[in-house]
Formats: sequence, C-alpha cells, structure tokens
Amino acid sequence: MTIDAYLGELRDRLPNTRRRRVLHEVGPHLRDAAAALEHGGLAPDVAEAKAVAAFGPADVVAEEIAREVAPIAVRRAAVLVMVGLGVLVVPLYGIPQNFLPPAPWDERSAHLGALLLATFAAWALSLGLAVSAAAVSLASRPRLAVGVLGIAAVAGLASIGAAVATIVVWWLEVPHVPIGSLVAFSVPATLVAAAIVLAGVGWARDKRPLLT
Amino acid sequence: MRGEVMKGHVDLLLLRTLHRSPSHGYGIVESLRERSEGAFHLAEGTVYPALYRLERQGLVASSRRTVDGRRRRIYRLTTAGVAALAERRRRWAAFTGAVESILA
Repeated sequence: MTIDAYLGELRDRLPNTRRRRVLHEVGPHLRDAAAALEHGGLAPDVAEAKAVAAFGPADVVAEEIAREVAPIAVRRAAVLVMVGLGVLVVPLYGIPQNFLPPAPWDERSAHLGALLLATFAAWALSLGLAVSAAAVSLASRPRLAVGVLGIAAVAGLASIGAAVATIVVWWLEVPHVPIGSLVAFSVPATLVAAAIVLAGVGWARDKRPLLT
Repeated sequence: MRGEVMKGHVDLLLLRTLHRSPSHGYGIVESLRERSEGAFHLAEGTVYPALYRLERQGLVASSRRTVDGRRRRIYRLTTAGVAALAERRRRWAAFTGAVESILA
C-alpha cells in the first residue's frame, strides 16, 4: 500500500476531533520512515509499503486514537450542553420579562408561583448537572459524565415544559398577555436551545462505546 | 519483543524517551528502536494514541515546529510528566526487583 492510500484510509476512519492533527503527524512520520528505508537500499515503492506495514493497520490505529480522544469529545459535548442551557435563559427569562405584563402578585394563584419556581429550579438543576458533567469529564470519568449530561438534558427539557405551563397559566389568569409575540419569540429560541442541548448529549452518547 | 508485551510499558518508555529530549513521533520510535538495539518491535502507529493519552493526562505537552523543513508536532515532558516518570520508574524497579528475587 502507498503512503497516500494509507493516509486516505486513515482519514476515512479517524474521528473528526483529531483528524487534521493526526494526518499532519502521520504523513511526515511515514515519509521519514520510507526515506530511511530507501536510504538503506530499498526501492521507493517497497520502502513505502514497508513503512506503512510497520505503522500498523489503519483501522486498528484509528480505533485506538478514537478511544484516546473520546474523553475530549465528551468534555466538548459538556460545554455544548452548558451553552444550550445558557441560551435557554432567553426564552425562560429574557422574553417573558419583556413581554409578560406583571402578574397580580398579591392575588396570584399558588400554582402560578409553584410553576415559576419549578421552571427555574429545573433549569438551575440542569445547568448544575451540566457543569458537574464537565468537571467529571475533566477528572477522567467520561462515562459518568455522559450519564450526568443525559440527566441534565432531561432536567433542561423539564424546565421547558414547566415554562410552557407557566406561560399558559399566566395567559389564562393575567389580562392583556400578548401571547402571539411571546410565542413568536419564545418558540424559536427554545427550539435553538433544545437543539444545542440534545446535539451535545447525542455527541457524548455516540462516544460512549469508546470510553473505558 | 512482541507488541502485546510492550503495550503495557509504552507510557513509561515514552516518558523516559521524552525526558531525554523533546521529539516528534517518528523520532520517538527511532529512539526506542536504537536504545533497545532493535529488540522492541512496536507497531509505530500505537505511539500516537499513547502520546495523546499522556497529553490528556497533562504528562506531555506538544507544539508544532519546523524540523528539517517539515512542520512537525514536537512532544515534551511537563513538570507533572517528570514526577510521573520518577514514580513509574520507582514502581518498575520494585516490580522487576521482586521478579528477580523470585527467579534467583
């Protein structure tokens, strides 16, 4: 096999996380090895084939590299989930704060207060779990981090559900709620935040089989 | 020496090799081959996952530099790597000492 063919096979099998870096390292390695063998008297094509063979099968090398870089991907996924949960502040707090008329606090129903509390408690819990997952992944426990990220996502989705219920109750109990504008801004922002969170969790879960 | 036997000791060998001098992947493989007088037949590609593992553990750091006209990633030992090497050498000496006393 030629060096270029080997690098092509390796490129197809490597995880995105380190593909460029690995190819920038392996290419010169193989060319140096082939040059040394050629200097030792081998024909160029034989030297290349021998250098490739000494490096090891591309699938084995790629899998070992994937195992080593998987914890890095989990760490990045944890950061992505934190970003998604951070974005969730916009539909959970920023938009309602600017669109909802003040609730009649003195005579508000108990369940409206409870829903507000549940929304922010679930969101705070989800963010806390995501931060914990990032810390756990830094402490070389990536499998645990993936599990914690999953729970963080569930808590994040629960906060979205509680927020929707809060807005519905608010709309029913407080007069003059501009529900159209509220929904028009909140729904896209919520979908973006949820997509970021779910993408992060999905990315982390994809790496789970590679984690020890 | 067979690859499987080598595998468990790769980290120690890499730490010691980089302790002598910073190097790129191919340089490390060459150094291992020379110092073992050809006894170590390690699949060269296994060096990189091990280097990435050591880098993730903070024992090794790397940077890109131009060497002989080629852009190479040079690995060097960190302070934590020096301490880890000392600890692993101590454990290795204790292990081989115990084996020697059984074999004697």
